[in-house]
Amino acid sequence: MPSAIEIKGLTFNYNKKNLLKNINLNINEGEFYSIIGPNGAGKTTLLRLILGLIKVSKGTIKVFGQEVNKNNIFKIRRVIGYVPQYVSIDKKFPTTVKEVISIGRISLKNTFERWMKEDENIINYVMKMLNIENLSTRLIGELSGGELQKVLIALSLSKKPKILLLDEPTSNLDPKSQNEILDIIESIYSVKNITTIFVTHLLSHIPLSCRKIALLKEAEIFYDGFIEDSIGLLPKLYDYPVDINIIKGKIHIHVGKEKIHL
Amino acid sequence: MTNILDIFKYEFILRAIISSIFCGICCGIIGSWIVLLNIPFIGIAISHAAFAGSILGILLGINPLFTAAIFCLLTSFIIGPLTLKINLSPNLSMSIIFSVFLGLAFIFLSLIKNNKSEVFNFFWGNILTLSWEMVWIMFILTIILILFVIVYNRKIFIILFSNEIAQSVGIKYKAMFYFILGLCGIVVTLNLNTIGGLLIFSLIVTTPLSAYQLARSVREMYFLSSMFGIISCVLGLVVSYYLNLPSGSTIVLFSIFILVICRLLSFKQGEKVL
Ligand SMILES: Nc1ncnc2c1ncn2[C@@H]1O[C@H](COP(=O)(O)OP(=O)(O)OP(=O)(O)O)[C@@H](O)[C@H]1O
Ligand SMILES: [Mg+2]
Repeated sequence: MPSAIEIKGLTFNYNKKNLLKNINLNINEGEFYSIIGPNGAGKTTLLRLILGLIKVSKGTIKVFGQEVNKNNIFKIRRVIGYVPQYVSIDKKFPTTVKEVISIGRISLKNTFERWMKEDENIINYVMKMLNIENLSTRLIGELSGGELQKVLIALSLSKKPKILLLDEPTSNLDPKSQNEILDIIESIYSVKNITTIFVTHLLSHIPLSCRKIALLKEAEIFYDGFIEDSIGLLPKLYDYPVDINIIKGKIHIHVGKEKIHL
Repeated sequence: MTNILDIFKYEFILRAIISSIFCGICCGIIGSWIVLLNIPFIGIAISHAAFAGSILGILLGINPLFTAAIFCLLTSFIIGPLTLKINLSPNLSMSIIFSVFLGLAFIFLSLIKNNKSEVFNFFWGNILTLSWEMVWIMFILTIILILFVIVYNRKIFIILFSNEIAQSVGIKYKAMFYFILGLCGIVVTLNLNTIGGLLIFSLIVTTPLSAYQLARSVREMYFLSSMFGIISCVLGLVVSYYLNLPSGSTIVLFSIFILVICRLLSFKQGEKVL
């Protein structure tokens, strides 16, 4: 399968400190990849590098064979849907949910390109998929954290992206909303087969469709590949005792209070 | 009745009213940007650039308007790169520019041997003494601004909404942001001479802030703040004429009055602080 994202020898320095060190990662088209690591491991930094929001210090990142650099970041960003970990927005900004979701469509348009019925349809479709049609005319500042999260996911989907980058989309959510969001992500993946990169620091948040993971710690990826083969390495991720039991052919993992079943 | 309409017999009043309308629209648009981007300091930075520029003009014996305009334009096109390249908040980089120009202004001022009062005259501006050329310039500027907003409306919205989102979805953020700041600078610069460096604040901050209380979209905000700007200018002018008060002050007071009403009407009351 052709590769969607190819990272080779990537290093990112900030103030002479390695925030990412010699990262090599290949993500194929249509794959669902999770990047897992503790706070400060460099997960968000990695996503920002893929988008070209910050500049690599060494190495290359290619998106669909095109190197991320000044000349084609705009082209690359068009095919990527990105849900950031945090966005600071003005609570009183005069705009509605629907208008915010339309940002995804607007970003694809050239200067004199008209707004089409199709754009409208896509926005409605995405809202329906995320079950937020009822929020459509609400002001953006009046949403709860979970609702806003869904709106941001809808925004990124309205671009009809070829790649989806999700930076801890379940953080700040209550368990019910967490599950809702995870289900939505699963269903998007199963319907559209979009190449998806899912960042989290909780193993239990890895969606079921995800077959491959990269374990990131202190600026380095120390494992990437199928989940099943990573189990022995999990204790290293958290420096924390990890219990692994196999009961009736199912793998049960306990990290502290976290329980994961594979 | 005839008395009330008397006011329109004077050409200078007519000119002032026409330019109020253009001024209201221009300031309504850039004021909406300024409030939504939270960069009110741009007014201070630019008016002090004008101050320093005009003093330099007087010092060198050139038309002070000319040097002031150059300083202002330079400033408005420096703010963007300064903000993004050095990674400062716009208000901080504008504060720095402000102090640089204030420092320069006083150095220039100390070099002027006589007739220092001329310098300050320039700073106030007077809407009643405008020339027709000035009105034309403002008309053209208004048209340019409106066209820019029509063509780029949706993209401007994204930039105002969130620079992080604008950048990550692939909007050409930098160029657009610089251009927006540049346009703000041009409008402020031109209006230093019409309504003055201090009054401009009521039109780029107070009236858009009133609109911000009520608007449900950026488009509504442009419209409302332009309307409020026009209303405060025209009412202010008329009232100042009849009560024989300085027009600048009455315009400011009207804009504040509108702000208070809008704040009271606002559905976005927000949480009450205990
Ligand atoms: N703008 C920045 N300037 C300097 N250092 C930064 C910056 N952003 C992040 N860092 C540092 O880079 C490292 C990686 O940060 P990053 O945000 O990528 O971590 P993360 O894996 O996403 O963590 P989290 O799970 O908390 O979101 C951290 O040590 C952090 O202190
Ligand atoms: Mg992060």
